[in-house]
Amino acid sequence: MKRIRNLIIPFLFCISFNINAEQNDMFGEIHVSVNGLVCDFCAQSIVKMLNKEKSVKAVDVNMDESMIKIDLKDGHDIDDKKITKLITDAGYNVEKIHRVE
Amino acid sequence: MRYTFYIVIIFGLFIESIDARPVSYPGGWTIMFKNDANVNRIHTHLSPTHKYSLGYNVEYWHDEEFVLNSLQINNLIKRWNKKRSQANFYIKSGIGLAYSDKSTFNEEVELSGFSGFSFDWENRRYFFKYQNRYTEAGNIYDAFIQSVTFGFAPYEGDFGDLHTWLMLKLEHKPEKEDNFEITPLFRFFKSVHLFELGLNDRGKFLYNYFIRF
Repeated sequence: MKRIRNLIIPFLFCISFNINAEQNDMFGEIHVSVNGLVCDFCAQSIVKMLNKEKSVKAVDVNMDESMIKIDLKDGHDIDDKKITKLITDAGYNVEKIHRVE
Repeated sequence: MRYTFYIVIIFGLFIESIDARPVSYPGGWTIMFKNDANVNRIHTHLSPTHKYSLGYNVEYWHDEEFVLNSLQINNLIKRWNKKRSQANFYIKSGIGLAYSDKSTFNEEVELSGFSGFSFDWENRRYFFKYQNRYTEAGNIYDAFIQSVTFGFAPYEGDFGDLHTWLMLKLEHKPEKEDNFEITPLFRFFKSVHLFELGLNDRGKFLYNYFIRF
């Protein structure tokens, strides 16, 4: 009985670890370099526009790098065209979009 | 008239004001409370797109003793977004009614209008702005005002931090005898709030607040 338990526990641990790994793969982070991002007010506008999207979980801003970080909800995605449109509509220009897995 | 004036004052005291972005993001509202040596003003606007805003502006001019109620439109004509800076060119116009409380024109009402442009440039350390406005209100008021503002940020705050600017505003009113006014001021902003506090060369305070949502 003890032997069976010793086999099952590592097995369940491995399954659990793999499931978590797959879930993490589905969480995406997108880094967007934005031109014109010079003040907090500019950033607030972009954050508010992006937060309207239901696929977006959280938005963070790095002013030093003029970069917006978009954290997506599990199993959701947003294409580059949509991101560019939202930021352009807010009055700013997208320089580069980089997806982090 | 006096009630409007008191409302302006009360809001000015209890809330506060900004003047950096005459246009917001699509669907964004902005409320501005501005108080300086010449005028108390409340301006609220909605931006259907980032290119223009529509709003209502009410202002009380102390020396001239009149209230200006206007529907105002601000147009972003051109924006230059660079990696480390941004510049904007706006045209701001309004049309409405002026109501005088001055003895000569007591209780006189006139159609009024104003128009002007502004240009600003900023990066995270430096700020420059030029703006002008010509206002016409029949017998009650008729004047051109222009100003330049220079700003310096002693540190570069990140997103969500308290941002601080040291600024100097020079205002020119060609029609007046004593036609230059100098106002050193502090600008603070954090999140969606902006507050300015200054004191001009005649000992009169400036206090502005604005909120965007």
